[in-house]
Amino acid sequence: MNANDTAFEVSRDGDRAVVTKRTFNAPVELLWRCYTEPELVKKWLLGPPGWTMPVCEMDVRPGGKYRYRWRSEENGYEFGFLGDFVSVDEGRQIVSNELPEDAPEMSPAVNTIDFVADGEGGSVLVMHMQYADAATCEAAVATGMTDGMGLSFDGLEKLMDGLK
Amino acid sequence: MNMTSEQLDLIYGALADSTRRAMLARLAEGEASVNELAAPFDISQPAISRHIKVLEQAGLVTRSRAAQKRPVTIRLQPLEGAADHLEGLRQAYAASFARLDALLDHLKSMPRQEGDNTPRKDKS
Repeated sequence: MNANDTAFEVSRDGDRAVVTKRTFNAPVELLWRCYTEPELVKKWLLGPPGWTMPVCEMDVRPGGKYRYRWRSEENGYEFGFLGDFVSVDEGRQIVSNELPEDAPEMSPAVNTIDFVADGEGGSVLVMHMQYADAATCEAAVATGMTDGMGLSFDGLEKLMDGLK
Repeated sequence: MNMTSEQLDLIYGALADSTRRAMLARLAEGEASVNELAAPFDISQPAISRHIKVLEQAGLVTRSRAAQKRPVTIRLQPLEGAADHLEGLRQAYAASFARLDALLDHLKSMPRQEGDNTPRKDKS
């Protein structure tokens, strides 16, 4: 659906937060299910082609934990996120903490996801991702950017190893 | 601002380490000597120097040659250049959301199963 794709915005909110806003041609109830039922999440939250989501565990209630892990079928590279749900307002809003699984010493990001009915049978998904500081925000954007450009993660890993 | 792929690699490599991010956060408050930068970390002096060198090569900090203690200063321009690449993040999400569109279309055409929110279809 290319029409939907044009209704997708990514912007900054200050120097340590990123906001994405996307319209979907489906009611909020379905969008909520796709975000909160692991068997559904695993079908779409995969980023660029070639990735799978072998781990998707989520206990969607305040204080419940989640763990996501992705794997590149091309080169076997894996990464993941874990955290807990801070608040869950069924069908409306989810607030969660997020840490990279492989760098748990970092300060967590706080993700706020709003599910909003557009009044015409569709819905709008607004994700607000707040990082601990500007540098962490840049690193997160950089990782996403690497995905978008289709560069392989192991190349980035090697580069980082070389800089250690 | 256009940056080369090599410059971006150096910047993101430099930012991919929690010690270096903490150093940048400290420098955002003002310039610091190497000893001041090292103080919060329980790591060796050579390791601290290596971290500073990585930041310097990425253009994220400069070291003054004037004063004897050679204070380290943050440079914000490279971060602003990297910020132009938010478009890449957009593309990564766009791929997932396009898949979500298809899944939502499929679910809309399917009657909801009573008492079972999670379709039990192991795809592994």
